[in-house]
Amino acid sequence: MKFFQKLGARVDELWRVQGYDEAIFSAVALQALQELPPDQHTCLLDVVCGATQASNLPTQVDMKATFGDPPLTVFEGRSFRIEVLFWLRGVPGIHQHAFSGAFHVLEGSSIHTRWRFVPEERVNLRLILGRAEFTEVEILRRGDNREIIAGPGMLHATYHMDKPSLTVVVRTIVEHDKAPQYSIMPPHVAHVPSLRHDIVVRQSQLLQMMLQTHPEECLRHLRCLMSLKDTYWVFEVLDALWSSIDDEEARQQLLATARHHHPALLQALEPSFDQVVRGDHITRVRGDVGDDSELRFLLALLRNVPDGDEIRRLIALCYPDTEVVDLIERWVRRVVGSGTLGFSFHESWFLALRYLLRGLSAEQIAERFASSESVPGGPRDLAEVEELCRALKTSWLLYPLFVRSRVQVS
Amino acid sequence: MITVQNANVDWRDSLYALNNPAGFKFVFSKQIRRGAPFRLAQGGAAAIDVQTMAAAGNSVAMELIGADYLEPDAPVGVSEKGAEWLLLSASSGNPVAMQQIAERWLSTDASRMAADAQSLLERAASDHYLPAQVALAAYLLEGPLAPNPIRATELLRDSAARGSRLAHVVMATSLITGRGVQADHDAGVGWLRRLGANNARKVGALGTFLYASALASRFPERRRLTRYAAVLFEESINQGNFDVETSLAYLIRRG
Repeated sequence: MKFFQKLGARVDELWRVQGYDEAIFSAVALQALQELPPDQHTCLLDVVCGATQASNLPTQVDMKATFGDPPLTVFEGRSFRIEVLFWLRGVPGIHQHAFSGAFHVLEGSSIHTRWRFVPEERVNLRLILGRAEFTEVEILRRGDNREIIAGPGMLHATYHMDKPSLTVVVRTIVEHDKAPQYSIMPPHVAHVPSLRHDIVVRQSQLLQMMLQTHPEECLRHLRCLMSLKDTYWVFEVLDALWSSIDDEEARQQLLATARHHHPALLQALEPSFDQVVRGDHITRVRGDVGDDSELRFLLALLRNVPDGDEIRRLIALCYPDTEVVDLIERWVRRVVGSGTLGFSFHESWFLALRYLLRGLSAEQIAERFASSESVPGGPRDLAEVEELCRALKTSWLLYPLFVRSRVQVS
Repeated sequence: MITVQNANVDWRDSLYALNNPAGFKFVFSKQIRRGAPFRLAQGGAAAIDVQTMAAAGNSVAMELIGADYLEPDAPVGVSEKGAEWLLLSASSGNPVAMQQIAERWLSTDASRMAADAQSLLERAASDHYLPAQVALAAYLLEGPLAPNPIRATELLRDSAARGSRLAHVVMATSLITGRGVQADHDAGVGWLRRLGANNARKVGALGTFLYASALASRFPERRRLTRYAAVLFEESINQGNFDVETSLAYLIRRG
């Protein structure tokens, strides 16, 4: 813990000569982290043992540990603090900050994606519909530092690949002119989880309870309410209840009612819900494959990087001696073989996947299947090959391999 | 729940799960009991005052009241009132009501109302209401709408691609029985395989799921689902699963 006193003192020293101007705090924090790299001075055990032995600690925040497993404040300065965030299972979504500073990877590694959000329709301060655009991805490793820019200028996500991962964050407390902190549900929704309206939250909780005890009445009631309530209310309640509604027709009826009364919201929300469901599912599969670091890497990429070229680039970066398509096919075979998906792949799926990754068209794949590479029980004609290719390219697991969504930012 | 863990022998096996993270959960949900006992006439057991809301023109409330009035155990004479409420709701743009009133017309007065029913189903489907799209396809295949197997197949393929399990079942049963399309047993079984029902036991399980859904459904959807369940039970028996003979017999005895 002594190290963080030293780091905090250095940050204060650098910032003081700048008049404690928040606008340049990120540069100050970055400089301090570069001068005193935490990974060269401390480690997980140092931090945990030091914090638990101490008779006193700086004021702790986020006591529900919503951001970090848990977060630990290790230094309090004038209008800034230093935190160590531990990550065991935490999957922070895409978010922006109402503070500035810099972070340092103390242990582990993470996939760091950057995004931007183009607003198209403001519902209210808490909910904006628009377009989330993926702009950049990199792999952060121990010792890496990155600035945190307050406000809409930096929208990012860090998906921690190792268990545990630790980050040191040097940050201002809050910059009110940069609030609120939006979170993004790609591809179309920006909302502020920290500003949820208390009344709406409690009403959602009541409806969740009612869904358990009186499901049919709850769904009737909910459909009536959706025809009466405002768009923000419908968003919050659907967001809270959606994963608990398992009846296909009930879901369709809810969507139809919401779509009829809040068309713009539903146009944005349906694809965003699809992304949430697929993200949760891949996270579950990733948890089930155990300690296989290669599979965990592949699944982390598929979950977080919506661009096939970028996925291939990162794999090539980390595994430079192996052909990327071969590696992807081999890893997908292992994921399927692990039984964690709940279904198997027919051999023709692997072959079609390999050919699609190599850029072959459905016609070319059909020709290969018709000739020497036919597989027992495989697709028999072009229409069947096209259906299989379409299914692979739109698969919840594999579709990022086939899209080019990265937006170049000048 | 059916989970396929064994190696697939046909390329169509489990294809549905590739595009739908939830996979093949043939879970009969108690969240929606479409055959719920008639309630409104019993003093407004509904949790919300739908009568007042319907009177004020709320489309969801009008649909709920209409559907309740059309329940088989509703007091005699109220079914016409139910149809009126549903029609009002449909007229205000509610796709759920559009499907319900259209299916009602097709089951009771098809010769006179088929064109109007088709028009409502088309409109509900164009509003992205998937159950209406599947129902429209089913009536174009099985009657009483004028047969149009090409359009029906297009609608079903689109619905299946958007995640409708029922669309898979309608395709499968039509192809197996030749109802509305040229019979093609292998193609029909292929649609069951896509849903993960790739052996006799799983086909029987899918039939049981459909039958349970039928028992909880509103008339006339109940009749359609029961017919599909019967086809699946027969297919399961033909594939060697005689365990479902009792289910099929029970289904036939209940008519």
